[in-house]
Amino acid sequence: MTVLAALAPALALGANVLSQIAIVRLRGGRGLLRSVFAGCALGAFALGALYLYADSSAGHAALGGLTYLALSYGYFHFINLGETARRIRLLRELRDAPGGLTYEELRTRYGARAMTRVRIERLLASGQIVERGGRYAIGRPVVLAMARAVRLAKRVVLGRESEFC
Amino acid sequence: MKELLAGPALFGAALAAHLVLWRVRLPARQTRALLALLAALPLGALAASALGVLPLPGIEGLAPHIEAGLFVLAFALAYIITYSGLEADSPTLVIVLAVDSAGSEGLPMATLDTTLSDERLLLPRLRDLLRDGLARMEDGRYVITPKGKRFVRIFSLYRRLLGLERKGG
Repeated sequence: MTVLAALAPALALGANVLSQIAIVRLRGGRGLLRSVFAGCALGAFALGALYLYADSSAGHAALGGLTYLALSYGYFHFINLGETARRIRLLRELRDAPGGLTYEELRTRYGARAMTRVRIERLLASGQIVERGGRYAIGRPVVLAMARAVRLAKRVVLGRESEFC
Repeated sequence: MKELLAGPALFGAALAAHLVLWRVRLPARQTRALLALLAALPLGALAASALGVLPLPGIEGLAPHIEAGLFVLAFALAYIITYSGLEADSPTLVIVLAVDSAGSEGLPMATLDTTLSDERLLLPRLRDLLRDGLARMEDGRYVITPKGKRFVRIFSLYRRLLGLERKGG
């Protein structure tokens, strides 16, 4: 096996990242999720091309494929953290306030109401929940499936369903 | 064939050690402990093997060591990211589960305001920032630390690179 083949998953991740950035910038910051999937697909294509060029065996290509998927998963979450993570948003608020902020000031800028509203808007926009007569119901069950999987994983790994148990 | 198993075997052994150790005692700084156990230790072993200090069986040459190292790093980071997501309750997933539990009747909009309070969504994350040294308390005010500034700069720069204006969160 060559060093190029060994590095192929990392190089493919580079192709993933560069193409994802280009796609989302060309769309003026819109379609972030689609750009992530498109970048991942382009990176996978680059990975295949690299393995063909390096004449790698099926076993190495399979292992490299798994490594690339794990790297892409990590990249997806890195972008997601910047988009949705409360801690990062709180740090941005604190960074923009040189004298610091009291708890009440933080509540006003980014309290539970704001956090909830933003997320409900996202869920409504993507059709994961729908509004009917002042009540919310499940729409597309994709995020619901994720929520159930995460709840099960919490039970298995942490022995509890919530950080408040 | 053996060299293909090096990465998965190292990561698998580290993961097994993690599952056993976490049952004995939960570390105070779990992310740091996971980075050490799942990434630093196996990568250290691979580096030592590549340099001939402590050769690992069935793996020879630089390229297989790089291949195994990338596998370990990728899966360690993926696991740690997923684990961090398990530690804290995601408001989005809490919302969806609450809506689902209301069944066909649907969930009244006002219900979520009671379920998702500042005590549940804001306070724990502020405590995390203090615990991780990303913020500190000064005369009753939360102040970002230099470590916090460095941390948030990474995400701010990246969002600017993506052309995203809004603050996120």
